[in-house]
Amino acid sequence: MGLLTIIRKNRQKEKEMRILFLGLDNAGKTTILKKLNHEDISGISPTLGFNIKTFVHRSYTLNVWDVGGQRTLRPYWRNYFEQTDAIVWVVDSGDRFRMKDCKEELHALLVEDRLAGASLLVFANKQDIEGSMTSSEIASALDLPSIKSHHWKIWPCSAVTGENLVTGLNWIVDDVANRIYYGVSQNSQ
Amino acid sequence: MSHLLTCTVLLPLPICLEMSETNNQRLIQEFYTSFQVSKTDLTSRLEKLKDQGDVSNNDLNGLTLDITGLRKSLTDATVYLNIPSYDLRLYEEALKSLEQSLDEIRTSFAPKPKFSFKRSKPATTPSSVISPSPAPSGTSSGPHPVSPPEGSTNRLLLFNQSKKYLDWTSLPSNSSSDLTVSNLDHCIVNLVGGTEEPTQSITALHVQNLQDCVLILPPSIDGSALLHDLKRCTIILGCHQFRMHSSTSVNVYLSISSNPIIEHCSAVAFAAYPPELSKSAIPVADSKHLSVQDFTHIRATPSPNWKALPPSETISVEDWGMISTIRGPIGGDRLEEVLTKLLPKS
Repeated sequence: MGLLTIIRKNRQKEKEMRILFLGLDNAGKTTILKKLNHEDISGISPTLGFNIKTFVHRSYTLNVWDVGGQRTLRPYWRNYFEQTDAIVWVVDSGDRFRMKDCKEELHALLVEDRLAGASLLVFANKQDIEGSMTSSEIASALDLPSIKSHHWKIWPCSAVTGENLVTGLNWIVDDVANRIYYGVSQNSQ
Repeated sequence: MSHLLTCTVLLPLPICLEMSETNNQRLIQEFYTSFQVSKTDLTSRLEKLKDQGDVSNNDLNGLTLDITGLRKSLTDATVYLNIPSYDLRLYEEALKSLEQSLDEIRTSFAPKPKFSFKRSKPATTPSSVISPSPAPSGTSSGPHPVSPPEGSTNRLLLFNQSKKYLDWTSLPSNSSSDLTVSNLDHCIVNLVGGTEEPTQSITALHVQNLQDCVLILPPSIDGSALLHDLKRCTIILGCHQFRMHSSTSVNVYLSISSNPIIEHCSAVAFAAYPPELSKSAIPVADSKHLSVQDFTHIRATPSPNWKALPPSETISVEDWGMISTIRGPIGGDRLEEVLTKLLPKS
């Protein structure tokens, strides 16, 4: 029995995943998370610090860390990198002014050793607002095709209408599961 | 089994433990040298860029990458080496000043967009003119040279204006969209009242780079407002979330149900949305316009960067009345007079 098998078995027992929600401020990270949990999204204040949400999604327990995106908070992001299985990068699709900022912050994350191997889901949020950039425009603005170090996928979504939120979450949970639980899930199914 | 696991997780530890005190000293010394070398190199490159007339994106991107790399190596060194805290502070300061000068260069050389007043049309019109067969937009991934790079929909845009009075007539009609306001100087933007009830509505707001401007917006923006780089402005609006960055001398009249936040701002004052302007504002008692959070001052003491607007500096009922009677464009001395009345006094 190899070490890898032991680790896989142990994690499979827990069936836990640690997911990090990051992105610039005003992207809608907290709103997406609340919407996924069917909570009220009308009175959300900008996040000072972070929120943790644990919920069960398709037999997996997801530990989601939603960290504030204000410029003053970004240096603290690295405190949350340890043991991260997946990154959800949320983008305000109407924020043309800061697409460059957004790209730089994202690519700075991807060179982090502690995030190596984590799956990357990009949510092109606020698609309900007319005049937003499309997901293909955002993919090229963020230079996503150049990413070779991580599995990634971009979904257009809206935290207000709920469009594609679950679809995106399903993709990332599957991607992590295939990687971490591969050996065991093959046997047990 | 759990015993085994613990071992694997802690594998790097023995390496750390073996590191003797002298070894650590040596590594710290090495890090110091390499840091100084990169710092000198980066500083001279930044200086060179500053002296240069124009700056290419490649130069900037290269510098950004290198500075990020240096920041990362410092982080790693902090984790693995036992750097004295005083030195650590010096490293942090050196990095910060590098990042700042890069930011300065970036903002000072940012290309000024050309003047134009966009009343954007649907993208289909130009494409049908150029290509005889109307190209279906099914393949969105393929590059489409005909369609404009951005803003092919009915976006609400106001930008690059000076000494103007702008209202709904300056914007495309019958749309509900994100409103983007940027690069205005000595302007009044009034999207409240005026003519009959507007058919447009605003679902989100992005504002950048205004100086000596008054922005009067409805109290009913569904989405969030994000404002950057304002100088001596008066902003009146109601929104779902309010964020303002790197701005000074701004009076904000706000109707809001969440905590407004400011970051890198100074001399900001908040007041309630004036009920004289619109009846659909949140009742003053329920609005959270005074629950401001300053992200650059996260302490128990009150932030020095903002205050509640004292009644003596608040725009009077008569002046609100004056605003709502303005019809059509005004300019010259009249514009200047209204601006003086509405802008912060400082």
